[in-house]
Amino acid sequence: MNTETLNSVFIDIELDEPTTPDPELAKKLEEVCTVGIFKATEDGTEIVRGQLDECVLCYLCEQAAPEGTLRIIKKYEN
Amino acid sequence: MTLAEINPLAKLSDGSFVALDAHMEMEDEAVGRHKKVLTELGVDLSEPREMYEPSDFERNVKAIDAADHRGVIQGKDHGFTGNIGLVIGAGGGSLTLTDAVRNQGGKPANYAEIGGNPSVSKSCGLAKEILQKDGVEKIAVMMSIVSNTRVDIVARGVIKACLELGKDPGETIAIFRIPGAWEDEGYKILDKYGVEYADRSVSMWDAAGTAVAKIQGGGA
Amino acid sequence: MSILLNEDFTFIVQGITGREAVNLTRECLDFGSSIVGGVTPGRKGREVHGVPVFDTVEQAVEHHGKPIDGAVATVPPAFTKDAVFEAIENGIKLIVVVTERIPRRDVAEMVELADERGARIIGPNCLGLIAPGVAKMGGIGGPAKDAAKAYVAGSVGVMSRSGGMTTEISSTLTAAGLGVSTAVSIGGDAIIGSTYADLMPLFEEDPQTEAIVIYTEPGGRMEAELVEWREEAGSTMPIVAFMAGRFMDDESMKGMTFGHAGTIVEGKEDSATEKIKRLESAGITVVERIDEIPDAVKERIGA
Ligand code: SF4
Repeated sequence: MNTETLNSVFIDIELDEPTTPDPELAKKLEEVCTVGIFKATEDGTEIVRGQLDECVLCYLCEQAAPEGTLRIIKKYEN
Repeated sequence: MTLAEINPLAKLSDGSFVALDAHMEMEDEAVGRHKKVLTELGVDLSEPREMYEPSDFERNVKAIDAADHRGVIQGKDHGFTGNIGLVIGAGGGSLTLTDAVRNQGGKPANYAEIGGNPSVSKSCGLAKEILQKDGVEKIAVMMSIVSNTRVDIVARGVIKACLELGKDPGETIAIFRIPGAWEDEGYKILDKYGVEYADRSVSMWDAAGTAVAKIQGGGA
Repeated sequence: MSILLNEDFTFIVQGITGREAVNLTRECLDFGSSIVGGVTPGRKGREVHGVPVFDTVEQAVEHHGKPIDGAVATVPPAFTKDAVFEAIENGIKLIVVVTERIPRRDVAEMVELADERGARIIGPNCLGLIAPGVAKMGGIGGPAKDAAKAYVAGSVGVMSRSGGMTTEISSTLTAAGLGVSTAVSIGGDAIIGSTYADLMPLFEEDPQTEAIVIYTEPGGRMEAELVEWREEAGSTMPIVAFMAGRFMDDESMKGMTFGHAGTIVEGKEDSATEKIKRLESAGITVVERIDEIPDAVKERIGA
């Protein structure tokens, strides 16, 4: 089986620096995302790159984060 | 139990009967309830009983399907020897499309089923397995109108499969015909990668015909 | 008009708090269906999209204050039989069983009890039924706006062993201006509650329905039963059939299951070729392509 894998071909996420370390937000993001794109770690929110392309565009994460600090980028739109 | 057969049955000289051989079939769904009796009968439950030995392709697809719980993919290539890679779904759609390909002179390399809105990695894995089969250069991605499975998610999966194998999606995907849920989002992705696609106004038959013509050429 | 459903039809969703059931509830409500309760043991007092949840069917009926017409069962395979029994015992007359992979013996028992009590089961392993402009019961057609795109009210009744193909065929009928009276996803298992022959009398009585389209596959005796029913009842309602899985007639495919649990060629009788012959001998038009269906229907009804 071919094992090469590409990440973030279709979807990327930008999360503004000041909010990234917030542990509360990290927990919330981990909870709302059904495809495991966010992981709450000691340093705050980690974005699981390997899962990015699984994003189902529900925007629950954008709604959970302070307004304008988190953006879902559809790379196929430009 | 769906079948119990005694054959042959022998009559002894004292008038009693003995079953010389017996054959029983049980549907997979019921196995869980009869573990005890099956073990007593010496049936190894860890070994699925198939009509034939599964191919590497079939085994690999099964493993990809088992890797996460989102949606279902299936792949079979027992009895298929052609060069048209089929990434198709769902149950009835796959039967219809396989017929449509064959009845227009096409030779499928495999049979497949996508359903229940699989993850991107599942459709990607299925498409990759098909593209790595001997003689398969191109795939046709087709389904009947979907209402649960998402067009954009399947589009991402099959395009990613091409990219990960270093192939151009626009060249490799002969036709993409999956109308339905999230189709507009899906068409945006397909446009970006130059993949030819069709909406519900193009019949399953005609989409299959396009696949045959593009993969096997005009002589098909 | 339509068969089985009408504007006042009420139903409950068993297993309503499951992920798929929550979606299905939303879709049905948006399509205009009247869901009067949901059942998930231990979840009484909750709501799903405004629908009250109960521990038992009995509580749901009591809350409603009069008999409930139908139930959609979306519970795990091991518990489906109990759920269906419970619905029947509480006077529910139409039960759509969505669940796949139910042991065959359980299905046989469910169908038996339904017969005894004058109830009807649709499925298992089906997407339910839809009467355009009236209601839908089950996930058939998906979200209301998608369902409305594929299903427009009209003159053709649809019965299909494949849930997805129910929508593909109906969409083709809709695009051709014929439309659909009621479409029923009857289920893909070897044993189902309502076969083509079981539902035909209802379509016969429905003034809106002028013709029937069936989607069928190899495996089983359902087509033979339809032919027998047609001859016995002296029915002349035009039927157009589409048979998928013709490739399964190849010797190399014998005994393999494709698509649905009930789709397997075991003997000569249940092969596609045999079935097509049988259907045609009873005056049923068999087409090779989905896109040939509308013209075949028009020819039969003289439109
Ligand atoms: S949009 Fe939804 S699926 Fe995508 S990252 Fe946000 S929460 Fe996860």
